[in-house]
Amino acid sequence: MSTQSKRSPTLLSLYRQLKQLSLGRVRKREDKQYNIAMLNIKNLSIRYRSTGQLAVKDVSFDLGEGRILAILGPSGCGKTTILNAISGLLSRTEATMEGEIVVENEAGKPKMTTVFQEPRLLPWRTVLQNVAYGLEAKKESKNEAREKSKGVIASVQLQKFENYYPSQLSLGMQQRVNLARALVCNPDILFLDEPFSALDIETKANVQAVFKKILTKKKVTTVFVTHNIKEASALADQIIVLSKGPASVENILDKKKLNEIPKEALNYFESFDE
Amino acid sequence: MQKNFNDRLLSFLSVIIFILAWQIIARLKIVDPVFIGQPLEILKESFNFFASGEIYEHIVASGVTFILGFSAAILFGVTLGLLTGINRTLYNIVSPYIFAIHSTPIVALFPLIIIWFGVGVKAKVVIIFLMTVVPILANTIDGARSMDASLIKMAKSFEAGKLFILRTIIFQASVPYILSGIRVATGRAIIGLIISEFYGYGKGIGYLVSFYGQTFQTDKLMALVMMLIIFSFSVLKTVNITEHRLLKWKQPGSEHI
Repeated sequence: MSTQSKRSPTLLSLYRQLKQLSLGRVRKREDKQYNIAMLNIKNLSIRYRSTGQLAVKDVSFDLGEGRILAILGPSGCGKTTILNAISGLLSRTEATMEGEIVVENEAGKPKMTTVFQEPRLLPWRTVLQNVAYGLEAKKESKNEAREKSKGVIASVQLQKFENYYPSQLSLGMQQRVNLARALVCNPDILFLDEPFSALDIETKANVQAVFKKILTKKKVTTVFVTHNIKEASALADQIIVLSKGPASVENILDKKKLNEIPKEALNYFESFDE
Repeated sequence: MQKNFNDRLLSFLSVIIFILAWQIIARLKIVDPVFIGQPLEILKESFNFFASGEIYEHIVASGVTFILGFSAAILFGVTLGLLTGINRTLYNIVSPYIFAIHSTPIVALFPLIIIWFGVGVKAKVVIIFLMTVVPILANTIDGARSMDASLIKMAKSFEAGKLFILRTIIFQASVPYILSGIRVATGRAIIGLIISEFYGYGKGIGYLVSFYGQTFQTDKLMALVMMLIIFSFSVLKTVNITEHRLLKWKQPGSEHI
């Protein structure tokens, strides 16, 4: 905790600088292209039942269709909790929630899929079978699921490894399989939970490039959790900066403003990446 | 461990020398062949069993009992084991019985079981079932309990149903445990089969073993024991082949040891 107090004066001034760049609380988006909000979070607070700890405090933001939103904040601040609350993986028995989460598109309830921090591949399934898993869970026939999967596997550049088992792949490759497994389900919203944090620097750049290419090409609406501002700015159109737990929104940055973030601020956020 | 030619040759020679020594000792009556039999006579009796056709009905009788009892134990053990492994309440209900049956010398219950189920196939099947169900059940429970919960969360993120998760994740993760349970159970199943046939009516390999044992027909007895060894060996071999097929993902070459 002593490091915290040492940091805080700089922290304050940094936030002040950031504030000048920020858009403040998100209002209805003005640019027409992304007029439809897929995701609308209003005053979300989450408290864990087991510890009674407030994990998320009064968080509001929204997200337009086809956009990539990064939720940036220090480790353990409650980023993943927000993500799990939206994706429905946080059960009511685990935590109490206040506020509103509206996830909607023209068709009604959009399809949501999560890419976890670790690949979570089934070790007894080959790459092809792993990618097809999500489709099989949704009761698609095996053959159809495999046909569809082949295309997506090619898009993450793993076509030569279709019949390999996860243990025969590098972590970077496994993470690409993880993405392919999510993408093959054609999600309306994709949740990425620190998908690059387990990778080494070189692999990270490579996997990030693959993710970026596919997400922008397919125009998948994405919520992306990270503690690394470089990752966030590389991938996202919009960044929400959260404070240290309980998570509350400090700032909302738009892509255009990202170049203007002062170097010190970048360095500060880099220090989250310990 | 991969065996090379020399390793194999050594193992082969060891067996040959053992059999030769046995034959010589019996032939020269250093030990009376009534006690230990003679390898050549044993071989001859084995042929005679099949040549005379005497053995077939006993093989069929034992085979049916074995398959019924063992497959019932596998089916019951695996199903209950998976459910018990994932459900705490069920685990608390079932676990005392597992320990109880595991600690019971089932052999001591044979007379009772025969009173309950008669001297027919039923009692023998029940005995084999009781002898084998515990290792399979306990291992399956271990498998289901030790599985990685994050994989289930992954499946839930794809809105997978409970049965689908049970089939594609929990069962699959338990397969190595189930197979090692079956391997342990195989030996017990054969013991159960033979002992239950000692008590049963006049059919089955175990009945023949007991008959030739009591009448000092050592060569015939030994021939039957040889058959049982071969049978037990082939069951284990089948389990190994199945394991090899099902656990391709775990084989050396991948990073697992």
